[in-house]
Amino acid sequence: MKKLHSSSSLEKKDSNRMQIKNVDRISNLPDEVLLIILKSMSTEKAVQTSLLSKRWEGVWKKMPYLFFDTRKALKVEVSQAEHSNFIAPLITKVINNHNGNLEHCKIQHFSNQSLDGTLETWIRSLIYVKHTKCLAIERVHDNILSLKGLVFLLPPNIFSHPTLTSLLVSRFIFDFAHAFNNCKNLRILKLYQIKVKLDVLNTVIASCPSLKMLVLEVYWYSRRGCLKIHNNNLKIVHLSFTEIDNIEVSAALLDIFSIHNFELARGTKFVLDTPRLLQFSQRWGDVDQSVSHIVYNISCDTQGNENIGHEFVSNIENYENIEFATLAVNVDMMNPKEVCMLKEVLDAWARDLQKL
Amino acid sequence: MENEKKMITLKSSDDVTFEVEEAVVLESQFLSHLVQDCPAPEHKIKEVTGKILSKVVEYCEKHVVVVVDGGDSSSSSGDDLKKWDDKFIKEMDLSTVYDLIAAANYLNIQALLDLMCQRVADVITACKDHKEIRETLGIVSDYTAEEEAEVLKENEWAFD
Repeated sequence: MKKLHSSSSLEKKDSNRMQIKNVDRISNLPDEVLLIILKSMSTEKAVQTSLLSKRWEGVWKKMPYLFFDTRKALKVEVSQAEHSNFIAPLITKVINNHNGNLEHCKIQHFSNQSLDGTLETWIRSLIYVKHTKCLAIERVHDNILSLKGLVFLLPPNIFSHPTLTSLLVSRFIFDFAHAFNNCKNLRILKLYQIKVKLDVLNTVIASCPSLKMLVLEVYWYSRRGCLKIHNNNLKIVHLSFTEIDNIEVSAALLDIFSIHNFELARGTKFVLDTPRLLQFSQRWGDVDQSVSHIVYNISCDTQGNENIGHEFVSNIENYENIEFATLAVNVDMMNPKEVCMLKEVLDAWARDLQKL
Repeated sequence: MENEKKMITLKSSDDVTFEVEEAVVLESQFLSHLVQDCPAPEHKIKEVTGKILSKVVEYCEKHVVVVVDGGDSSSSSGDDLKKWDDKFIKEMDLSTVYDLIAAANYLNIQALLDLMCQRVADVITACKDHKEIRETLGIVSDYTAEEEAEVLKENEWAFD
Protein backbone atom coordinates (compact mmCIF):
# COMPACT_ATOMS: atom_id res chain seq x y z
CA MET A 1 0.00 0.00 0.00
CA LYS A 2 2.97 2.30 0.53
CA LYS A 3 3.69 2.32 -3.13
CA LEU A 4 0.12 3.34 -3.79
CA HIS A 5 0.54 6.48 -1.71
CA SER A 6 3.76 7.56 -3.31
CA SER A 7 2.35 7.22 -6.80
CA SER A 8 -0.77 9.25 -6.07
CA SER A 9 1.19 12.10 -4.47
CA LEU A 10 3.40 12.13 -7.53
CA GLU A 11 0.32 12.66 -9.67
CA LYS A 12 -0.84 15.59 -7.62
CA LYS A 13 2.56 17.23 -7.78
CA ASP A 14 2.71 16.80 -11.49
CA SER A 15 -0.87 17.47 -12.51
CA ASN A 16 0.11 19.53 -15.53
CA ARG A 17 1.99 16.69 -17.03
CA MET A 18 -0.91 14.36 -16.29
CA GLN A 19 -3.16 16.60 -18.31
CA ILE A 20 -0.97 16.18 -21.35
CA LYS A 21 -0.65 12.46 -20.77
CA ASN A 22 -4.47 12.25 -20.85
CA VAL A 23 -4.38 13.35 -24.47
CA ASP A 24 -3.39 10.08 -25.84
CA ARG A 25 -5.13 8.11 -23.14
CA ILE A 26 -8.66 8.87 -24.33
CA SER A 27 -7.71 8.88 -28.00
CA ASN A 28 -5.87 5.58 -27.54
CA LEU A 29 -8.99 3.78 -26.41
CA PRO A 30 -10.29 1.37 -29.06
CA ASP A 31 -13.15 2.41 -31.33
CA GLU A 32 -15.60 0.10 -29.53
CA VAL A 33 -15.05 2.04 -26.31
CA LEU A 34 -15.22 5.47 -27.96
CA LEU A 35 -18.49 4.34 -29.51
CA ILE A 36 -19.91 3.54 -26.07
CA ILE A 37 -19.08 7.15 -25.15
CA LEU A 38 -20.73 8.53 -28.29
CA LYS A 39 -23.77 6.28 -27.85
CA SER A 40 -25.06 8.26 -24.89
CA MET A 41 -24.95 11.62 -26.69
CA SER A 42 -27.17 13.34 -29.21
CA THR A 43 -26.31 12.66 -32.85
CA GLU A 44 -25.17 16.29 -33.27
CA LYS A 45 -22.77 16.12 -30.37
CA ALA A 46 -21.39 12.81 -31.60
CA VAL A 47 -20.85 14.18 -35.12
CA GLN A 48 -19.15 17.24 -33.61
CA THR A 49 -16.42 15.02 -32.19
CA SER A 50 -15.17 14.58 -35.77
CA LEU A 51 -13.56 18.01 -35.39
CA LEU A 52 -11.45 17.04 -32.37
CA SER A 53 -8.60 15.36 -34.21
CA LYS A 54 -7.89 12.88 -36.99
CA ARG A 55 -8.32 10.02 -34.53
CA TRP A 56 -11.92 11.09 -33.92
CA GLU A 57 -12.86 12.01 -37.46
CA GLY A 58 -14.29 8.64 -38.44
CA VAL A 59 -15.49 7.30 -35.11
CA TRP A 60 -19.05 8.69 -35.28
CA LYS A 61 -19.46 7.11 -38.72
CA LYS A 62 -19.61 3.72 -37.00
CA MET A 63 -22.38 4.74 -34.62
CA PRO A 64 -25.33 2.32 -34.76
CA TYR A 65 -27.96 5.03 -34.18
CA LEU A 66 -28.67 8.31 -35.97
CA PHE A 67 -31.39 10.79 -35.15
CA PHE A 68 -32.14 13.78 -37.38
CA ASP A 69 -34.54 16.58 -36.61
CA THR A 70 -35.02 19.22 -39.30
CA ARG A 71 -36.30 21.64 -36.67
CA LYS A 72 -32.83 21.81 -35.21
CA ALA A 73 -31.46 25.35 -35.05
CA LEU A 74 -34.68 26.71 -36.53
CA LYS A 75 -34.30 30.47 -36.46
CA VAL A 76 -37.26 32.76 -35.95
CA GLU A 77 -36.21 35.27 -38.59
CA VAL A 78 -35.98 32.64 -41.33
CA SER A 79 -39.08 31.11 -42.89
CA GLN A 80 -39.64 27.40 -42.43
CA ALA A 81 -39.19 26.78 -46.16
CA GLU A 82 -35.85 28.60 -46.22
CA HIS A 83 -34.66 26.80 -43.13
CA SER A 84 -35.80 23.49 -44.55
CA ASN A 85 -33.99 24.05 -47.85
CA PHE A 86 -30.86 24.96 -45.96
CA ILE A 87 -30.85 22.03 -43.54
CA ALA A 88 -31.92 19.20 -45.87
CA PRO A 89 -28.69 19.03 -47.95
CA LEU A 90 -26.65 19.08 -44.74
CA ILE A 91 -28.53 16.03 -43.45
CA THR A 92 -28.03 14.30 -46.81
CA LYS A 93 -24.28 14.84 -46.43
CA VAL A 94 -24.19 13.38 -42.92
CA ILE A 95 -26.18 10.31 -44.04
CA ASN A 96 -23.80 9.84 -46.98
CA ASN A 97 -20.75 10.17 -44.72
CA HIS A 98 -21.89 7.45 -42.35
CA ASN A 99 -20.29 4.04 -42.81
CA GLY A 100 -23.61 2.19 -42.84
CA ASN A 101 -25.02 -0.89 -41.16
CA LEU A 102 -27.22 1.28 -38.99
CA GLU A 103 -29.29 -0.39 -36.31
CA HIS A 104 -31.67 2.50 -36.07
CA CYS A 105 -32.33 5.79 -37.80
CA LYS A 106 -35.05 8.28 -36.97
CA ILE A 107 -35.86 11.28 -39.15
CA GLN A 108 -38.19 14.05 -38.09
CA HIS A 109 -38.85 16.16 -41.14
CA PHE A 110 -41.03 18.90 -42.59
CA SER A 111 -43.70 18.37 -45.27
CA ASN A 112 -41.35 20.10 -47.75
CA GLN A 113 -39.01 17.13 -47.74
CA SER A 114 -41.70 14.67 -48.70
CA LEU A 115 -42.92 17.07 -51.40
CA ASP A 116 -39.57 17.76 -53.07
CA GLY A 117 -38.32 14.16 -53.04
CA THR A 118 -35.65 14.68 -50.38
CA LEU A 119 -37.37 12.23 -48.05
CA GLU A 120 -37.31 9.57 -50.75
CA THR A 121 -33.59 10.19 -51.33
CA TRP A 122 -32.87 9.80 -47.62
CA ILE A 123 -34.97 6.64 -47.31
CA ARG A 124 -33.30 5.11 -50.40
CA SER A 125 -29.86 5.89 -49.11
CA LEU A 126 -30.63 4.65 -45.59
CA ILE A 127 -32.20 1.40 -46.75
CA TYR A 128 -30.31 0.49 -49.93
CA VAL A 129 -26.86 1.96 -49.28
CA LYS A 130 -26.61 2.09 -45.51
CA HIS A 131 -28.60 -1.11 -44.83
CA THR A 132 -30.56 0.33 -41.93
CA LYS A 133 -32.43 -2.25 -39.86
CA CYS A 134 -34.90 -0.04 -38.10
CA LEU A 135 -36.27 3.13 -39.67
CA ALA A 136 -38.60 5.77 -38.23
CA ILE A 137 -40.06 8.51 -40.41
CA GLU A 138 -41.95 11.19 -38.55
CA ARG A 139 -43.42 14.26 -40.18
CA VAL A 140 -43.39 17.09 -37.66
CA HIS A 141 -46.27 19.49 -37.11
CA ASP A 142 -45.49 22.28 -39.53
CA ASN A 143 -46.98 25.00 -41.67
CA ILE A 144 -48.28 22.82 -44.45
CA LEU A 145 -47.76 24.45 -47.81
CA SER A 146 -50.14 22.11 -49.57
CA LEU A 147 -52.04 18.97 -48.66
CA LYS A 148 -49.78 17.10 -51.07
CA GLY A 149 -47.02 17.31 -48.47
CA LEU A 150 -49.11 15.06 -46.21
CA VAL A 151 -49.46 12.27 -48.75
CA PHE A 152 -47.06 9.39 -48.33
CA LEU A 153 -45.80 9.22 -51.88
CA LEU A 154 -43.03 6.72 -52.28
CA PRO A 155 -42.29 4.32 -55.14
CA PRO A 156 -43.35 0.66 -55.08
CA ASN A 157 -41.25 -1.85 -53.13
CA ILE A 158 -39.17 0.81 -51.38
CA PHE A 159 -39.44 -0.97 -48.02
CA SER A 160 -38.86 -4.45 -49.41
CA HIS A 161 -35.10 -4.57 -48.74
CA PRO A 162 -34.07 -7.67 -46.72
CA THR A 163 -32.14 -5.75 -44.02
CA LEU A 164 -35.03 -3.50 -43.09
CA THR A 165 -36.92 -5.27 -40.31
CA SER A 166 -38.67 -2.47 -38.45
CA LEU A 167 -40.55 0.55 -39.76
CA LEU A 168 -42.38 3.41 -38.10
CA VAL A 169 -44.31 6.04 -40.08
CA SER A 170 -46.02 8.97 -38.43
CA ARG A 171 -48.42 11.77 -39.52
CA PHE A 172 -49.20 10.98 -43.16
CA ILE A 173 -52.08 10.27 -45.46
CA PHE A 174 -51.87 6.91 -47.21
CA ASP A 175 -53.58 6.95 -50.59
CA PHE A 176 -51.75 3.92 -51.95
CA ALA A 177 -50.25 0.78 -50.46
CA HIS A 178 -47.62 0.13 -53.14
CA ALA A 179 -44.66 1.46 -51.14
CA PHE A 180 -45.26 -1.58 -48.91
CA ASN A 181 -45.26 -4.11 -51.76
CA ASN A 182 -43.25 -7.19 -50.98
CA CYS A 183 -42.35 -6.36 -47.39
CA LYS A 184 -41.61 -9.96 -46.53
CA ASN A 185 -38.83 -8.94 -44.19
CA LEU A 186 -40.62 -6.47 -41.97
CA ARG A 187 -41.05 -7.80 -38.43
CA ILE A 188 -42.34 -4.62 -36.81
CA LEU A 189 -44.68 -2.06 -38.35
CA LYS A 190 -45.95 0.95 -36.45
CA LEU A 191 -48.26 3.47 -38.08
CA TYR A 192 -49.06 6.53 -35.99
CA GLN A 193 -51.57 9.23 -36.86
CA ILE A 194 -52.17 7.92 -40.33
CA LYS A 195 -55.26 8.77 -42.33
CA VAL A 196 -56.08 5.92 -44.64
CA LYS A 197 -58.79 4.12 -46.60
CA LEU A 198 -59.66 0.74 -45.13
CA ASP A 199 -58.81 -1.24 -48.27
CA VAL A 200 -55.43 0.49 -48.57
CA LEU A 201 -54.62 -0.42 -44.97
CA ASN A 202 -55.72 -4.02 -45.54
CA THR A 203 -53.35 -4.21 -48.52
CA VAL A 204 -50.49 -2.77 -46.43
CA ILE A 205 -51.07 -5.38 -43.70
CA ALA A 206 -51.34 -8.21 -46.24
CA SER A 207 -48.06 -7.06 -47.86
CA CYS A 208 -46.15 -7.70 -44.64
CA PRO A 209 -46.67 -11.44 -43.95
CA SER A 210 -43.76 -11.81 -41.49
CA LEU A 211 -44.87 -9.15 -39.01
CA LYS A 212 -44.50 -10.01 -35.34
CA MET A 213 -45.69 -6.67 -34.08
CA LEU A 214 -48.33 -4.40 -35.57
CA VAL A 215 -49.25 -1.05 -34.02
CA LEU A 216 -51.97 0.96 -35.73
CA GLU A 217 -53.12 4.41 -34.72
CA VAL A 218 -55.23 5.48 -37.68
CA TYR A 219 -58.12 7.63 -38.84
CA TRP A 220 -60.49 6.46 -41.55
CA TYR A 221 -61.80 8.21 -44.61
CA SER A 222 -64.89 6.13 -44.06
CA ARG A 223 -65.69 3.45 -41.51
CA ARG A 224 -67.32 1.23 -44.12
CA GLY A 225 -65.80 -2.16 -44.60
CA CYS A 226 -63.83 -4.68 -42.63
CA LEU A 227 -60.34 -4.34 -41.18
CA LYS A 228 -58.58 -7.63 -41.85
CA ILE A 229 -55.56 -8.79 -39.91
CA HIS A 230 -54.77 -12.35 -40.96
CA ASN A 231 -51.23 -13.25 -40.04
CA ASN A 232 -49.97 -16.30 -38.20
CA ASN A 233 -46.62 -14.76 -37.28
CA LEU A 234 -48.07 -11.87 -35.28
CA LYS A 235 -47.36 -11.87 -31.58
CA ILE A 236 -48.46 -8.34 -30.70
CA VAL A 237 -51.27 -6.23 -32.07
CA HIS A 238 -52.15 -2.79 -30.75
CA LEU A 239 -55.07 -0.98 -32.35
CA SER A 240 -56.25 2.55 -31.83
CA PHE A 241 -58.95 4.14 -33.98
CA THR A 242 -62.46 5.43 -33.89
CA GLU A 243 -65.56 3.84 -35.34
CA ILE A 244 -65.38 0.95 -37.71
CA ASP A 245 -67.90 -1.50 -39.10
CA ASN A 246 -66.14 -4.84 -38.93
CA ILE A 247 -62.87 -6.28 -37.70
CA GLU A 248 -61.35 -9.71 -38.29
CA VAL A 249 -58.22 -10.72 -36.45
CA SER A 250 -56.87 -14.14 -37.17
CA ALA A 251 -53.47 -14.80 -35.64
CA ALA A 252 -52.47 -18.22 -34.38
CA LEU A 253 -49.51 -17.00 -32.32
CA LEU A 254 -50.91 -13.75 -30.95
CA ASP A 255 -49.89 -13.24 -27.33
CA ILE A 256 -50.74 -9.61 -26.80
CA PHE A 257 -53.81 -7.89 -28.07
CA SER A 258 -54.48 -4.36 -27.02
CA ILE A 259 -57.14 -1.93 -28.14
CA HIS A 260 -57.53 1.71 -27.39
CA ASN A 261 -60.05 4.40 -28.13
CA PHE A 262 -62.46 1.99 -29.73
CA GLU A 263 -66.06 2.70 -30.32
CA LEU A 264 -67.86 -0.18 -31.88
CA ALA A 265 -71.11 0.79 -33.49
CA ARG A 266 -74.19 -1.35 -32.98
CA GLY A 267 -74.08 -4.43 -35.08
CA THR A 268 -70.31 -4.33 -35.46
CA LYS A 269 -68.88 -7.72 -36.20
CA PHE A 270 -65.69 -8.40 -34.27
CA VAL A 271 -64.20 -11.74 -35.16
CA LEU A 272 -61.20 -12.81 -33.10
CA ASP A 273 -59.41 -16.01 -33.97
CA THR A 274 -56.54 -15.95 -31.51
CA PRO A 275 -56.21 -19.38 -29.88
CA ARG A 276 -53.47 -18.33 -27.45
CA LEU A 277 -55.69 -15.64 -26.00
CA LEU A 278 -58.57 -17.97 -25.49
CA GLN A 279 -60.06 -16.51 -22.33
CA PHE A 280 -60.00 -13.07 -23.76
CA SER A 281 -61.85 -14.10 -26.87
CA GLN A 282 -64.54 -15.61 -24.71
CA ARG A 283 -64.83 -12.61 -22.42
CA TRP A 284 -64.90 -10.14 -25.24
CA GLY A 285 -68.69 -10.12 -25.36
CA ASP A 286 -68.99 -8.92 -21.75
CA VAL A 287 -66.56 -6.02 -21.62
CA ASP A 288 -67.32 -2.38 -22.12
CA GLN A 289 -66.15 -1.82 -25.65
CA SER A 290 -65.83 1.95 -25.58
CA VAL A 291 -62.67 1.86 -23.45
CA SER A 292 -59.24 0.37 -23.72
CA HIS A 293 -58.20 -3.15 -22.97
CA ILE A 294 -55.07 -5.16 -23.15
CA VAL A 295 -54.52 -8.87 -22.85
CA TYR A 296 -51.12 -10.46 -22.36
CA ASN A 297 -50.07 -14.08 -22.34
CA ILE A 298 -46.88 -13.97 -20.26
CA SER A 299 -46.06 -17.58 -21.08
CA CYS A 300 -45.20 -16.46 -24.59
CA ASP A 301 -41.98 -14.81 -23.49
CA THR A 302 -40.72 -17.56 -21.25
CA GLN A 303 -41.16 -20.09 -24.02
CA GLY A 304 -39.37 -18.17 -26.71
CA ASN A 305 -36.16 -16.28 -26.21
CA GLU A 306 -37.54 -13.00 -27.46
CA ASN A 307 -38.70 -10.49 -24.92
CA ILE A 308 -40.45 -8.28 -27.38
CA GLY A 309 -43.86 -8.73 -25.77
CA HIS A 310 -42.68 -8.18 -22.25
CA GLU A 311 -41.00 -4.99 -23.34
CA PHE A 312 -44.21 -3.77 -24.94
CA VAL A 313 -46.41 -4.34 -21.90
CA SER A 314 -43.86 -3.09 -19.37
CA ASN A 315 -43.29 0.08 -21.35
CA ILE A 316 -46.92 0.79 -21.97
CA GLU A 317 -46.66 4.10 -20.13
CA ASN A 318 -44.62 5.33 -23.04
CA TYR A 319 -47.69 5.10 -25.17
CA GLU A 320 -49.12 8.55 -24.72
CA ASN A 321 -52.42 9.11 -23.00
CA ILE A 322 -53.49 5.54 -23.00
CA GLU A 323 -55.60 4.56 -20.04
CA PHE A 324 -56.62 0.98 -20.05
CA ALA A 325 -59.64 -0.27 -18.22
CA THR A 326 -58.57 -3.88 -18.14
CA LEU A 327 -55.33 -5.73 -18.22
CA ALA A 328 -55.86 -9.44 -18.56
CA VAL A 329 -52.80 -11.57 -18.04
CA ASN A 330 -52.35 -15.29 -18.60
CA VAL A 331 -49.70 -16.53 -16.27
CA ASP A 332 -48.49 -19.89 -15.04
CA MET A 333 -48.15 -19.34 -11.28
CA MET A 334 -46.02 -22.44 -10.91
CA ASN A 335 -43.32 -20.99 -13.12
CA PRO A 336 -41.10 -18.62 -11.06
CA LYS A 337 -39.90 -16.77 -14.15
CA GLU A 338 -43.45 -15.99 -15.20
CA VAL A 339 -44.39 -14.82 -11.71
CA CYS A 340 -41.36 -12.55 -11.68
CA MET A 341 -42.38 -11.11 -15.05
CA LEU A 342 -45.91 -10.57 -13.75
CA LYS A 343 -44.42 -8.53 -10.91
CA GLU A 344 -42.53 -6.40 -13.41
CA VAL A 345 -45.71 -5.81 -15.38
CA LEU A 346 -47.61 -4.83 -12.25
CA ASP A 347 -44.80 -2.45 -11.24
CA ALA A 348 -44.86 -0.85 -14.67
CA TRP A 349 -48.60 -0.46 -14.39
CA ALA A 350 -48.58 0.86 -10.83
CA ARG A 351 -49.84 4.27 -11.90
CA ASP A 352 -52.85 2.92 -13.76
CA LEU A 353 -53.66 0.35 -11.12
CA GLN A 354 -53.80 3.06 -8.47
CA LYS A 355 -56.39 4.92 -10.45
CA LEU A 356 -58.64 1.90 -10.77
CA MET B 1 -22.42 -22.22 4.69
CA GLU B 2 -22.45 -18.42 4.91
CA ASN B 3 -18.94 -18.39 6.36
CA GLU B 4 -17.48 -20.67 3.76
CA LYS B 5 -17.61 -18.29 0.85
CA LYS B 6 -14.75 -18.93 -1.50
CA MET B 7 -12.15 -16.17 -1.36
CA ILE B 8 -9.86 -15.15 -4.18
CA THR B 9 -6.82 -12.92 -4.10
CA LEU B 10 -6.18 -10.41 -6.85
CA LYS B 11 -2.78 -8.81 -7.25
CA SER B 12 -2.28 -5.59 -9.15
CA SER B 13 0.60 -4.70 -11.46
CA ASP B 14 2.33 -2.92 -8.58
CA ASP B 15 1.75 -5.88 -6.21
CA VAL B 16 -1.10 -4.54 -4.13
CA THR B 17 -3.28 -7.48 -3.10
CA PHE B 18 -7.05 -7.62 -2.63
CA GLU B 19 -8.88 -10.51 -1.06
CA VAL B 20 -12.41 -10.73 -2.43
CA GLU B 21 -15.30 -13.18 -2.50
CA GLU B 22 -15.67 -15.29 -5.61
CA ALA B 23 -19.02 -13.61 -6.38
CA VAL B 24 -17.23 -10.26 -6.72
CA VAL B 25 -14.80 -11.69 -9.24
CA LEU B 26 -17.71 -13.05 -11.30
CA GLU B 27 -18.79 -9.49 -12.12
CA SER B 28 -15.87 -9.50 -14.54
CA GLN B 29 -16.20 -11.79 -17.54
CA PHE B 30 -12.42 -11.88 -17.92
CA LEU B 31 -11.80 -12.86 -14.30
CA SER B 32 -14.62 -15.44 -14.30
CA HIS B 33 -12.88 -17.29 -17.11
CA LEU B 34 -9.49 -16.87 -15.46
CA VAL B 35 -10.73 -18.28 -12.14
CA GLN B 36 -12.48 -21.19 -13.85
CA ASP B 37 -9.57 -22.07 -16.10
CA CYS B 38 -6.85 -21.80 -13.51
CA PRO B 39 -7.96 -22.38 -9.94
CA ALA B 40 -4.93 -20.78 -8.26
CA PRO B 41 -5.48 -18.91 -4.98
CA GLU B 42 -3.91 -15.74 -6.33
CA HIS B 43 -4.23 -13.99 -9.68
CA LYS B 44 -1.91 -11.31 -10.90
CA ILE B 45 -3.47 -8.66 -13.16
CA LYS B 46 -0.53 -7.06 -14.87
CA GLU B 47 -2.52 -4.45 -16.75
CA VAL B 48 -4.16 -2.77 -13.77
CA THR B 49 -2.52 -0.74 -10.99
CA GLY B 50 -3.42 -1.06 -7.32
CA LYS B 51 -5.06 2.35 -7.28
CA ILE B 52 -7.41 1.44 -10.11
CA LEU B 53 -7.96 -2.16 -9.01
CA SER B 54 -9.13 -0.88 -5.61
CA LYS B 55 -11.79 1.19 -7.41
CA VAL B 56 -12.79 -1.81 -9.54
CA VAL B 57 -13.10 -4.01 -6.46
CA GLU B 58 -15.08 -1.31 -4.63
CA TYR B 59 -17.51 -1.09 -7.56
CA CYS B 60 -17.94 -4.83 -8.00
CA GLU B 61 -18.38 -5.44 -4.24
CA LYS B 62 -21.13 -2.84 -4.09
CA HIS B 63 -22.93 -4.22 -7.10
CA VAL B 64 -22.66 -7.85 -6.07
CA VAL B 65 -24.13 -7.20 -2.61
CA VAL B 66 -27.14 -5.43 -4.04
CA VAL B 67 -27.91 -8.23 -6.46
CA VAL B 68 -27.76 -10.83 -3.65
CA ASP B 69 -30.00 -8.74 -1.34
CA GLY B 70 -32.22 -7.74 -4.20
CA GLY B 71 -34.87 -10.32 -3.27
CA ASP B 72 -37.06 -7.88 -1.31
CA SER B 73 -37.52 -4.47 -2.85
CA SER B 74 -35.61 -4.33 -6.08
CA SER B 75 -36.74 -0.81 -7.04
CA SER B 76 -35.45 0.94 -3.93
CA SER B 77 -32.13 -0.90 -3.93
CA GLY B 78 -31.91 0.05 -7.62
CA ASP B 79 -32.29 3.69 -6.63
CA ASP B 80 -29.70 3.32 -3.89
CA LEU B 81 -27.33 1.74 -6.34
CA LYS B 82 -27.79 4.62 -8.76
CA LYS B 83 -27.08 7.12 -5.99
CA TRP B 84 -24.00 5.15 -5.08
CA ASP B 85 -22.86 5.12 -8.73
CA ASP B 86 -23.38 8.89 -8.97
CA LYS B 87 -21.29 9.47 -5.87
CA PHE B 88 -18.68 6.99 -7.10
CA ILE B 89 -18.03 8.94 -10.29
CA LYS B 90 -18.73 12.45 -9.01
CA GLU B 91 -15.40 13.20 -7.39
CA MET B 92 -13.34 11.16 -9.80
CA ASP B 93 -10.86 13.07 -11.97
CA LEU B 94 -10.76 12.33 -15.67
CA SER B 95 -7.41 10.62 -15.42
CA THR B 96 -8.92 8.01 -13.07
CA VAL B 97 -11.97 7.75 -15.34
CA TYR B 98 -9.73 6.86 -18.32
CA ASP B 99 -7.86 4.30 -16.23
CA LEU B 100 -11.13 2.75 -15.11
CA ILE B 101 -12.43 2.66 -18.68
CA ALA B 102 -9.30 0.84 -19.79
CA ALA B 103 -9.53 -1.54 -16.80
CA ALA B 104 -13.28 -2.22 -17.24
CA ASN B 105 -12.68 -2.85 -20.94
CA TYR B 106 -9.79 -5.21 -20.24
CA LEU B 107 -11.55 -7.05 -17.40
CA ASN B 108 -14.82 -7.03 -19.36
CA ILE B 109 -17.11 -5.47 -16.75
CA GLN B 110 -19.83 -4.02 -18.96
CA ALA B 111 -21.78 -2.08 -16.32
CA LEU B 112 -18.67 -0.30 -15.04
CA LEU B 113 -17.55 0.44 -18.60
CA ASP B 114 -20.95 1.94 -19.42
CA LEU B 115 -20.93 4.03 -16.24
CA MET B 116 -17.49 5.47 -16.94
CA CYS B 117 -18.24 6.13 -20.61
CA GLN B 118 -21.42 7.92 -19.56
CA ARG B 119 -19.29 10.18 -17.38
CA VAL B 120 -17.09 11.14 -20.35
CA ALA B 121 -20.19 11.61 -22.53
CA ASP B 122 -21.65 13.98 -19.92
CA VAL B 123 -18.42 15.98 -19.89
CA ILE B 124 -18.46 16.25 -23.70
CA THR B 125 -22.16 17.15 -23.80
CA ALA B 126 -21.58 19.97 -21.31
CA CYS B 127 -18.98 21.58 -23.61
CA LYS B 128 -20.27 24.24 -25.98
CA ASP B 129 -17.98 23.47 -28.92
CA HIS B 130 -15.16 21.23 -30.09
CA LYS B 131 -12.52 23.63 -28.78
CA GLU B 132 -13.89 23.33 -25.29
CA ILE B 133 -14.05 19.52 -25.61
CA ARG B 134 -10.39 19.47 -26.67
CA GLU B 135 -9.42 21.66 -23.75
CA THR B 136 -11.41 19.70 -21.19
CA LEU B 137 -10.32 16.24 -22.35
CA GLY B 138 -6.81 17.39 -23.22
CA ILE B 139 -6.99 16.37 -26.87
CA VAL B 140 -4.50 18.01 -29.22
CA SER B 141 -5.73 18.56 -32.75
CA ASP B 142 -3.52 17.30 -35.57
CA TYR B 143 -5.64 18.91 -38.29
CA THR B 144 -4.30 21.63 -40.52
CA ALA B 145 -6.62 24.63 -40.84
CA GLU B 146 -7.69 23.41 -44.29
CA GLU B 147 -8.40 19.88 -43.09
CA GLU B 148 -10.43 21.21 -40.19
CA ALA B 149 -12.47 23.43 -42.50
CA GLU B 150 -13.12 20.43 -44.75
CA VAL B 151 -14.38 18.23 -41.89
CA LEU B 152 -16.54 21.12 -40.71
CA LYS B 153 -18.04 21.49 -44.17
CA GLU B 154 -18.76 17.79 -44.48
CA ASN B 155 -20.59 17.60 -41.18
CA GLU B 156 -21.99 21.11 -41.05
CA TRP B 157 -25.43 19.89 -39.97
CA ALA B 158 -24.08 19.13 -36.51
CA PHE B 159 -22.70 22.62 -35.97
CA ASP B 160 -24.81 25.67 -35.29
